[in-house]
Amino acid sequence: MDKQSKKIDLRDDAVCVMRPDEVLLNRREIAFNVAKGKLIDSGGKIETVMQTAEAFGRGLFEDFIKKESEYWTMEKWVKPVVENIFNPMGTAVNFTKLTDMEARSLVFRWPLREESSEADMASLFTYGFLRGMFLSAFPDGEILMESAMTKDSPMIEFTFKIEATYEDRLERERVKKNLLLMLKKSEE
Amino acid sequence: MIDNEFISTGIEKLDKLLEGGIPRGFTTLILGTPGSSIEILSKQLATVGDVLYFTTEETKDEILETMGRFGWKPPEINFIDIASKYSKSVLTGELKRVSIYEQRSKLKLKELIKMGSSGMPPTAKGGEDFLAVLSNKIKTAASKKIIINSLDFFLSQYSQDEVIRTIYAAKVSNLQNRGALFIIMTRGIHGDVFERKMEGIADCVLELEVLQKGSTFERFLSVKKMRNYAKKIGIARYGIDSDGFVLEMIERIM
Repeated sequence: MDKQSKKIDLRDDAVCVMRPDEVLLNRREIAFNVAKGKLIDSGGKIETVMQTAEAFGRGLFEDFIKKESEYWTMEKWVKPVVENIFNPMGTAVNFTKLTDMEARSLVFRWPLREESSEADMASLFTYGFLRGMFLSAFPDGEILMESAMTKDSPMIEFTFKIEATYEDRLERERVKKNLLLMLKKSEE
Repeated sequence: MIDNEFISTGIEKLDKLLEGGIPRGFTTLILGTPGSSIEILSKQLATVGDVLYFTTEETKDEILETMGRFGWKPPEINFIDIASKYSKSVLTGELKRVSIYEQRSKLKLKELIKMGSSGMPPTAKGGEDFLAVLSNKIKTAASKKIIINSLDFFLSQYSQDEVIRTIYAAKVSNLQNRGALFIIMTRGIHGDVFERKMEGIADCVLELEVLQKGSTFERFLSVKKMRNYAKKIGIARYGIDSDGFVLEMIERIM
């Protein structure tokens, strides 16, 4: 194990080894700063952050995942995302469900959110870039953010659906609205 | 217009830096970072000439309001207000996302047989395809100046390959039309490989940079690439005043 590697104990029987990749971390850092800058430039439009994150996610898919398959299934998507994106970014994820149509993941370590002073913004950015990566493979899909990571809730659950229902498609707007509420609360 | 060979950018000193403006038929990529006021430059470009303006982040009204604040009175701008259309479509839950390149292979056998018997080409049903809007409008545009502000939106909705193919087609249309196509893109989001591909497609590359020097910020506009016009490569410091972009201290690199 090299110096950069971190060993994280998930449970007694599962160990996740993450090797932070400086290039990828730097790329994420730049994109996150660009998103924050664009938020200021646009006069506070949250949509700008979401679009920037989605574009970043699509770029990651293009550079790190796309080559892994020509035809996508949930399993084929999950494997390179964990190996090429989550692990090098230091994000600890446990997939609790993996079927052809749906996957569920628990994120219990999320460095961007932990390191950033703008934690809520980091949550939105992460949702956005995951969405960009997921929709690149499954254009009719959607990601549902089941809970937000807070002090009381140290984990966040995402549901990945290959075919989104009408209700699912409203999720993106719901996430944006929630963030706006959180930002307003923190300003008060 | 300065003369028949070039199309004015709408900023006198930028035209001077470019020794006349943008050569006809050129595709110009403008790269910027937040804080560089790239959004102001994109509007100022629209103040001169017959313009087709694709707006993805601000609505038409917001753009006209900003232009009014600077006292710019553009002659005629044909706006394609994707920002408004998109916001309406996401609020109503996007019936179905469609891709411009959606293939028959994605369709079910029954649907294929039905289409095959009708002899009609396959068309995807669903929400508006903004990349197709961009592609079709540019192909049929009579305007000599086309501004896409910004490519970031399309890159958040479509794959990089789809966007590159569309931009390449737009470049060819612009070349035939002998117009000027301006593409605005934010640096730092889409990856180095994609940025290099875009720089390769563009005939001209302008970059806006903000550098912190002590407690102040200095802004620079550089002409990084100008196909067949090596003399035009240069850099200028700029600021923004009540009239818009003000270029100062032009420096030739070649």
